Amino acid sequence: MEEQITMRGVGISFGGAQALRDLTFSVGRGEIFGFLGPSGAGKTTTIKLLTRQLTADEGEIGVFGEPVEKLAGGAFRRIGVLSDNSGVYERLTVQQNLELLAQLRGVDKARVQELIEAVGLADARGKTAKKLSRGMRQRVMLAGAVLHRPQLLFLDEPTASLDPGTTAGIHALLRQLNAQGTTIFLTTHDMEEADKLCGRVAFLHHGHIEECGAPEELKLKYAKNEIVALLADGRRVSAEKTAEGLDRIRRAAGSCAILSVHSQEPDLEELFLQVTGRKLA
Amino acid sequence: MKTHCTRTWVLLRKDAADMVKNPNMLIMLLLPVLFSWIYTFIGAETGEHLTPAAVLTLATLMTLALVPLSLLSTAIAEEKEKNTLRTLMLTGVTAGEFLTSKALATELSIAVVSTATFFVAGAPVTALAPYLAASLLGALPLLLLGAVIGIASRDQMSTGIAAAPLALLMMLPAMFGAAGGVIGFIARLMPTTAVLDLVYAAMELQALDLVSSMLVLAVWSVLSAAVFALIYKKKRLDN
Repeated sequence: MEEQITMRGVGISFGGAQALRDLTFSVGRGEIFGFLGPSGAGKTTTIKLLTRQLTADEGEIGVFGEPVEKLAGGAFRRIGVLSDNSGVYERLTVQQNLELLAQLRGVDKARVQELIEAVGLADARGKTAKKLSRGMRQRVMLAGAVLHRPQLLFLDEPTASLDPGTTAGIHALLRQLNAQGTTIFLTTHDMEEADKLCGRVAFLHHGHIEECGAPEELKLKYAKNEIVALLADGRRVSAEKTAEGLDRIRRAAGSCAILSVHSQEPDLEELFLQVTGRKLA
Repeated sequence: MKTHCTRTWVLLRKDAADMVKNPNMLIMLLLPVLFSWIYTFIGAETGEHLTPAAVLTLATLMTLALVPLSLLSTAIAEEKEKNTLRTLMLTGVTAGEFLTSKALATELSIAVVSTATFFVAGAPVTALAPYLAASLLGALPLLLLGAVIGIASRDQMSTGIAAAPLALLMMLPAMFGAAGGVIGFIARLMPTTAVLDLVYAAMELQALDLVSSMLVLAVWSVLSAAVFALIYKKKRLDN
């Protein structure tokens, strides 16, 4: 698979504090890659390094197969970025903000209308950005980041502070973009979001990747070799995932009916805790 | 090249429109016009009104001190403070395109304000073109200094720390230079005094020494460009 992003042995410090160390991963064309970690883990710093907003102290960073240092205006036209330091013009309306970005990127105005609908801002298109809620601003910035159907999209917590309905709409938009060939690098706290959207995820802890892989693979890798039975009297009985384990459950149930038996697979939240020893939130 | 021009044009239209939409900037632009109107009433009781050239002199000083220094620096700092500069840079806008559009929008606003003060002062229409040329030319070193303040400042509030004293330095010696002595000597070295000489010449009044005025402006332009280059190299645009 053609690599869109590569990081090899990347490290950066701020005032003596190591923010990222030996960061190594790659993202192939057409992937949705989730970068998961608690606040302060280094997710935003990674996006800044990949978009040349920061320079690494060590290691190699590549975007579109070229060293990131060579990332110039032309390459930025193939990239979309939504980060915590994106901004909107407060005295311009939603529509004017997006039209400005469309003009700068040479995108047709019809695309602005399409995106205003897609991010659920049709009723607010004439409102100045100053009057928008945080979530609505986030949607304007997201629309701005995907206006030009970028080849590579960096999203830093794209659905933070959005309601479930809008989040679902944003997810649909991201899937649509991905189906059209956009590679997406996404940071999130939301494990459900990562599970739904991402083909692969990386767990970032104290500036280092602790685990990386497809969510299903990771769940199997860290799955407990255990089954749990729910009995009619409300009891839960767990045992080893073997024939002997199943016999043990039957014996424990006795005359009580067994309502269900299922294996114990951790979700991403539990996995993160298991791998890093700390919770995400 | 075409892309650079297109993007600069898009930014220029946005920046020019924003100067009217932003109440702080609008007030800065209206002040010289308002004051030139007030100056026309000076001496009304005795019948000794200020001449159009005197009104224009005071209004030009105010325009040059306020607009390129305060307005330009605030406009640059606001883009940094509100993260819109980052948004622009991530769309591929270059520092050159960004600064060019800001400088052109400021020059445009100086032209509009100067034209308004010119007519409020009651100056003869024939002097308009040379007067505008003098104002716009004289604004160049101050534009560079305004850009330096904007680049060096973290937010809008901190631009005032450098812009306010510099604005006073540009205004006061030029206003009181006629007193002679040390003030008179300092005034001869200021770009604003040089611009006033050009304004006098535009009004077909006797200018002190146009060659030395042009030389002063040239030296200030070169020095301001050097300071700009130094600060830009050190801080970059989005520090």
